[in-house]
Amino acid sequence: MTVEFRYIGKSINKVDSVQKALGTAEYINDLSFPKMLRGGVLRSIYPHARILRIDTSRAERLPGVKAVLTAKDVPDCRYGVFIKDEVVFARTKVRYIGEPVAAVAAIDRETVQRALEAIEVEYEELPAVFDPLEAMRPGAPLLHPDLDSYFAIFPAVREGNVCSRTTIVEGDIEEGFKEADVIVEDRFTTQMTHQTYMEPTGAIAVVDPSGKIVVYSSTQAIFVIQSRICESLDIPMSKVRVIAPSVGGGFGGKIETNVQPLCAALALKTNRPVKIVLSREEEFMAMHPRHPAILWGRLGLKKDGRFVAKETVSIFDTGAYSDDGPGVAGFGTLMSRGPYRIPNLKLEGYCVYTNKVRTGAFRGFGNPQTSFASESLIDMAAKEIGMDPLELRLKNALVPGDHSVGNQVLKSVGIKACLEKAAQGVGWKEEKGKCRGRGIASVNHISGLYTAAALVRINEDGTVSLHVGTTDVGQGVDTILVQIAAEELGVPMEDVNLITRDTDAAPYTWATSASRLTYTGGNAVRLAAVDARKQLLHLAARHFESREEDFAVEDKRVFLKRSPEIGLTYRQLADISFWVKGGQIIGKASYMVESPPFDRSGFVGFPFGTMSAYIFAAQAVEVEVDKETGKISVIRCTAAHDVGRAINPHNVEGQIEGGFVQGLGYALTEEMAFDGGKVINPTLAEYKVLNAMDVPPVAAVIVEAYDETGPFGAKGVGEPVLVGVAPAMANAIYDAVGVRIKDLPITPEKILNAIKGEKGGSCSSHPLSGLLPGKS
Amino acid sequence: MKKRKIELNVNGEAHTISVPPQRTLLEVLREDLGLTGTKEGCSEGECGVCTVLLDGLPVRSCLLFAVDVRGRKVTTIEGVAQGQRLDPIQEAFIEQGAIQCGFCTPGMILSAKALLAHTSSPTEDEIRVAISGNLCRCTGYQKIVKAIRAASREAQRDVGQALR
Amino acid sequence: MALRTSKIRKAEFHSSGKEKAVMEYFEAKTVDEASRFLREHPEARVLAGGASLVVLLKNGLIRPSHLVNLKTIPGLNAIEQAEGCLRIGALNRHGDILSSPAIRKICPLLPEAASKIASPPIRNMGTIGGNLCHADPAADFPPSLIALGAKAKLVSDEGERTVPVEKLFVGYYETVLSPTEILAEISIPSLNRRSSGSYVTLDQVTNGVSIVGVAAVVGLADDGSCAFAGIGLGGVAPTPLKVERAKEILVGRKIRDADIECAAEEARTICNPTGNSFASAEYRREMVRVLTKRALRDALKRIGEGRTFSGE
Repeated sequence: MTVEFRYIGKSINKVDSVQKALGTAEYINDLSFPKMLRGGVLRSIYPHARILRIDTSRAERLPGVKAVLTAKDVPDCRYGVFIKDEVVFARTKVRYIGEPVAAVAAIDRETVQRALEAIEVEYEELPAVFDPLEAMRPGAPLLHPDLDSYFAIFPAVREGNVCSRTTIVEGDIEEGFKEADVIVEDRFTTQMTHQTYMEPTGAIAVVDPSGKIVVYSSTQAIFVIQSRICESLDIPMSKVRVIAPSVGGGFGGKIETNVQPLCAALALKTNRPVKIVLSREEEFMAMHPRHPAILWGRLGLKKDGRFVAKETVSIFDTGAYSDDGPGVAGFGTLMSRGPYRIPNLKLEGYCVYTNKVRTGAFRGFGNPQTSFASESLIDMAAKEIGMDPLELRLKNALVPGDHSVGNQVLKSVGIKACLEKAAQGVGWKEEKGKCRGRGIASVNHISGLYTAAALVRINEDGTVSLHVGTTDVGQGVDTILVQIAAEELGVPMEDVNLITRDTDAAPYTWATSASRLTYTGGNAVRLAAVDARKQLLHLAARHFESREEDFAVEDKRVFLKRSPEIGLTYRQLADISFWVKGGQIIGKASYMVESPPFDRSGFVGFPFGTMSAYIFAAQAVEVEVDKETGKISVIRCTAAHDVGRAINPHNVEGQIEGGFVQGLGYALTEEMAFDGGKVINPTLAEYKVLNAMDVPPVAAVIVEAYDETGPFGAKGVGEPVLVGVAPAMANAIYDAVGVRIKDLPITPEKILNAIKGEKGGSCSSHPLSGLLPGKS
Repeated sequence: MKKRKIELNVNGEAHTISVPPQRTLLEVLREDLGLTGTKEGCSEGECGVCTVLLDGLPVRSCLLFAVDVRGRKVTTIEGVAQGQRLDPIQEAFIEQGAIQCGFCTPGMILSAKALLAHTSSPTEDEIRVAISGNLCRCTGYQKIVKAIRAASREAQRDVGQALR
Repeated sequence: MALRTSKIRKAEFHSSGKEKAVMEYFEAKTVDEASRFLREHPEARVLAGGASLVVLLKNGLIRPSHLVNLKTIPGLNAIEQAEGCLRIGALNRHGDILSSPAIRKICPLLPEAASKIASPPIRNMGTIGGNLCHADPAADFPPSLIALGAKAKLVSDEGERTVPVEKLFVGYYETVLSPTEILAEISIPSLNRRSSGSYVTLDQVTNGVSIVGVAAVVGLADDGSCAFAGIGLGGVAPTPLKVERAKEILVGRKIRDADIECAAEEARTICNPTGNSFASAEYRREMVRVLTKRALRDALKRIGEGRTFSGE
């Protein structure tokens, strides 16, 4: 059945693109308020130290300084995502270089600077640990001795510096490996990377005349920010409002709080607006970069290629505080089977504290890490049995009706189509040039999670007010939600007034995260619009003393099917609703991802209650390797993504193209380098983000395996766009020159050394052998 | 610290302001003249969101002292549209889906404007060189390159029509 | 076990950017004037394009009392041919060098080097003089200038002197310029009609700070033997380097593969790179060898194709 839609499936210009092209869109640093103060943060210079004494008296006395705050000025409580372990100011000890110790509000930036320099802190250094395997050893310095006493929102399995351990078992892993004809196993490592959105994070806190704190922030999760501010400063949610102006990118790094509670506390103390915008250096030092990981996997298969068993151990370095860590470790572990039928599984993930900046959500949320291992391992298995890596994937790939890990029945599964199209895009079967190779990787991910709500109000003149608490950070959710509402209501898009990014004006949605806004936000908006339309029909029926089924809707008019000249326009109906019958029409929907059912009986320590729709992709590359320098040229790349249905194809392509390039950066050039606990390359000159001359065009292919649970069949795409690129690159390089790099980023030096056979083989053993009892 | 009185020509308008020597052009544009379309992203001349045109050539306003550019012509994103009419480059960015978060957009558009003023039919390579100093984390550059090419064809069409 | 030491430490980094030094600003009208001002104000620094200087200033790494603007001195951005030399004023911007018809004809190696610097906005601001005086060991102009046998004219209110470019550099970000000297001009000696050059770099990202950069210039006599050879290295020592033995290895013979290998090996031997997380010292050393071979072969290939430096 082909339905012709007016807006769905069309590359409509984004609703905010004009203001962005004009340069009039307002981001946090463009906002200013009367009597606004500037704020700054004093940060720890030690990775692990007790705070013996803080003396702020000199700073307080400087002319122009209006407040100096430390831990004693905020409630003694902890906040956090899964485990409440983090603090607004370090209280008795600091756990990473960059941790906030004090904050200052003053009349200008120069005075802030002088005040920060005038604060004296006396530290007593403590032994620190920077490597997660070291941190897991008995006797390692403990970052959180009170770990067991911290509140956790799920039954976390915790011990020592391991704040969460997730284990997932299906089938019988020992039997599974006995069945296998071939077993491949190896260890991989991935690095810490930073979201490096172009707009540094910032916030402005203003106490309004009623005493409510209004916090403007560059964030992708207004309700999360609201919640954490309330939690950390012990303020009721009725007294805190969070508003996101235009946001210059997030990619996960702007979900959790960093400066917002500090700004709020300073604003409360001074009773003046306070603005803090981070420098790029602070972004690198003190925000929420990606978890580096150590990944080990063992895959058992039959001679004919059928997968029979998989065992994984993934160790995620969560830095000084857990933040999204348990989720990243748990989710990455869940994804480590991959989009394949594998009956016997033992998947284990660890989330480990170290004295480095705490890591957090970044596009992919653990999946890029485990996929690097999983998808490299598959190519290694293909080599062992002499099968084409594409064929091996296709042979084992999920089909509609198969199960996820956790036994969720998957109905919308487009992985095979994605694999075929991605392979085709790089000329999989064509002759290869010298030193050229092709690689492919499959991706599975989820799209959804938790709840979104929407309100659709019919205004007095028949136009529409759409309230939804999503936060567009550039991906275009504002536009597609307007498309959905306009489609359902049959109104022009210009008629829809989108009210969003304001916790007072819009109903709750969870974060811009988990590739979820199209799915959950879209569902909420569609259902709310359907509700509003139903109410319009109902009002017409009341008015004409007839039944709803007798009416049709077209072009903003509700009319009798059998006598179309009898009807009322939306405007007329709105008039009636305002003055005569019924009251304002308000369509509403609160949508929660509750199904499909998810069997957790094999799960221990898994931090999520439910999963959501599954999305699939395949990414393929063709590379050429310069055997003298190890430098890689990317010749062709294709990414095919199963998005259910593309509500706005331009938006989807934009995500695919942009995510692929981020994936290339992850694969080839990006790395936060450390000397002990100190980031040694905290600038854009030294942390290498790819520029326009570095990247080839990406062929984006949209595969639509309609998902009946999504709005108009749509699922998300925001994260998988990055996930398969690094393993596809590793596989392509192996295909080109016969060397496998198991350690990201794949630098020319690593390739050259591998080609020359130098520096010995990298470690392939189980990372926990000898570390924990029972592991050998 | 002595402030200097300088005259700046920004988007065709003359401004007289008093600035200390270490005040950058970026600070003057954003804070003294209220032109916040030019952004701050890294303060070290690496990211490109502070790009403005100086006598038609793209420069890093975060690395220029205001006193150093007095008397020169500065063009910011606010000076690109002609009143209510969007510049063809702006139109193309919108039509081609080349704008996601929008933070790199002003700098990109100005780099594109300088390129097209100089090279009416740039190749893909020339376009990528022209925007190589404008980092974008959202788009992967692809639709931006497409938009600039579309804008150049549009401009060619306008010239063709004008000549007929 | 806690350490006993206890330290009172001042803040090391803060939000909202660093505080810039508060400075005065002086616009010089002549080189002499600039030099005298520098003599009278020992804490002053010169300002050319600002591409490097302003970054240092913003990071609080330098706190000058005054900035002396050199761009207000007329004539420092001339490009002319005189006395068998191509003379390039120090205040020519990278973009000027990229687009100058004279330089593109006479010495296309320089636009090739300029094209690898940073990005178009930086090329519209930074100057060749600034590039040299900032003395970043990975800077893009020095290897080419060294390979060309270029000289730098240093001028002060007390006189002037000429220094071969390779002798300008003393260490990381350190030159031989006295506090009152200004680099005014680069002069490049004419090479014969069968000369060409090539600048090859290895970057992490295109036009990012080079990991390794090698420039080679070769001139052939009518009988095909090598009459001139120059090799300059960047990014592999605390300063840019000249391969002194290039002349000995290559000049006076028909260059064969073995000679190229020998020159590449010499380049590798004299360099002294520092490694970082992206590329180790050993790798950089090996890349010097590979890139020197490529630069030499490329220069010879260009001569063969007629893409030579045109003297007239």
